[in-house]
Amino acid sequence: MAASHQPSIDATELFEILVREQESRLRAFIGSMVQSPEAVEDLVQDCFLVAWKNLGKYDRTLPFGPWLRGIAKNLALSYYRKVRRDKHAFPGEEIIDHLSLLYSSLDKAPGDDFDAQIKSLECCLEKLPEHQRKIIDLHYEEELDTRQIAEFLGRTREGVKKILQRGRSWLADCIQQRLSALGMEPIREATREKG
Amino acid sequence: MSQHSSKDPKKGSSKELGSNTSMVEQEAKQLFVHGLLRYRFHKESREQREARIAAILETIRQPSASTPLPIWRRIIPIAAGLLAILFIGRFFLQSPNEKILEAEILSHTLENSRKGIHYFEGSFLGNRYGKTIWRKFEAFFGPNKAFAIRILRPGGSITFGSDGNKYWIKGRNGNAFLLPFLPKDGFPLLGMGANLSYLEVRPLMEAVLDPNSRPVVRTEVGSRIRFQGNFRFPAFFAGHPLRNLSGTKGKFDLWIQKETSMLQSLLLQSTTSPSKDDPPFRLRLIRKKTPPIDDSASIFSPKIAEIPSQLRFSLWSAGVLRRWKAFRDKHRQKK
Repeated sequence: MAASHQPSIDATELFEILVREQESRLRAFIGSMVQSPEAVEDLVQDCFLVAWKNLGKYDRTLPFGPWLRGIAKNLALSYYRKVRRDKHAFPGEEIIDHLSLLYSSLDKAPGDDFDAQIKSLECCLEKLPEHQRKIIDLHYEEELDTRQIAEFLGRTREGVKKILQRGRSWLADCIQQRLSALGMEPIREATREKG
Repeated sequence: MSQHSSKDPKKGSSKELGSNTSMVEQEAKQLFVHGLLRYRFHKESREQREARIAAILETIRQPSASTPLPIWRRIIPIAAGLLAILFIGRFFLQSPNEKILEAEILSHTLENSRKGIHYFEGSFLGNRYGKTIWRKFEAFFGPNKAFAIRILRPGGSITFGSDGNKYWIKGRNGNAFLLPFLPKDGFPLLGMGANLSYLEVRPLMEAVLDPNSRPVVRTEVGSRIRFQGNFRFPAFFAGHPLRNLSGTKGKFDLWIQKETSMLQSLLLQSTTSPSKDDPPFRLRLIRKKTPPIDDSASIFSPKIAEIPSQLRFSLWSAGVLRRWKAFRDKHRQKK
């Protein structure tokens, strides 16, 4: 019996597949840590470059996403050391490790790509109370800062910050509930995987 | 991806939260949703994403990505670059026709830009008598000054447009009516040839530049040119659609594609209130890929419905009544 023919694939081609698979989620992950869009752009590129150079060190028995996010965390840390802006401090390693776990939980969500995997965000946004939705939209879609939103809505800046914070917490809980309903225990599974 | 300068999720977090697990979780959740929202609201088109992935792959495919180049191979491109800059700089310094050359290039790109339909997405944010107004819209610009601006509303869109000769408005029910009473010079942006290339936008920006403020700052960012400056609207005459904005000051931020000279985005942010009752406004316009259009005539020249004379009178009366009420409310608020 003839042996089945395996298509040959070189490292560059394999890495291209990984870049395509991971690029969007890596962009979102770095966007969680770094504010400047230009810096996010640069860090995504640098991260893949570092990953490519260190591909030999990657343990193939573990998932690729968390390894890539580990590189991104270190790059973000060096970025903050370079820019040294008090207003936007590095969130802290412990927080970023936990953040990476949250992103890992999305890796397991159903869907062919990241856009499909964050479908739960879309559903949760639709259910978000209207006053929170409006402020979230103004902040993220219209790119207004909290001072400008406060000015437009006739609220205090602190009030706007609180609503934004509550809106994000509500969305995080909603996403986790939806993932749990799909049979995934987001953080627990991700922690087990890390362990 | 957007720039959110006053993000609160992680301010001062590392020192205070280090040992508190639940606070760490809360903070991570905030950042998690923050990143997802930024991604969701500023998702790129497939072409933009492909271009970025191609750039990443290009970087890793370069031999320098895996093995460092010998010094001589690194020096040669730098030296060649320096020589090229010196040569080109010399050429332009010596050229007496630099401005003519620039004009020729711009006219050529302008000619190209007139072809096809240009599509923008925009939003307007402002206040009217203490009520926030936030409208998103789509804008199509076609040849011969044709345009259509579709204001998106929850109950259906309202479209305002022109085929280049007549102005019309289309309501939620899909019926389009002519607007015979629209002042010809009412909307300077539309009256100047609405393809929105730099050549067309520049005179408008120059007309509203604030002469008392610092000059326009021009910076080159990759394949784009950015213009930042301050504007001050002139005093619009009574009856002008923009009369409420007379004398308003603010900042503009304009991005132009270097190769085509086409406008990529425009942001007008007022810093002073047009009036006591109308706090600052913000207008944003971003070029997007034109969606597939089967018939451009349906966008710029919809079938116009005839308005019966009784209805025309009713509309006119309703308009007068609405203006009178607005005038009365404004004076009541002042008291």
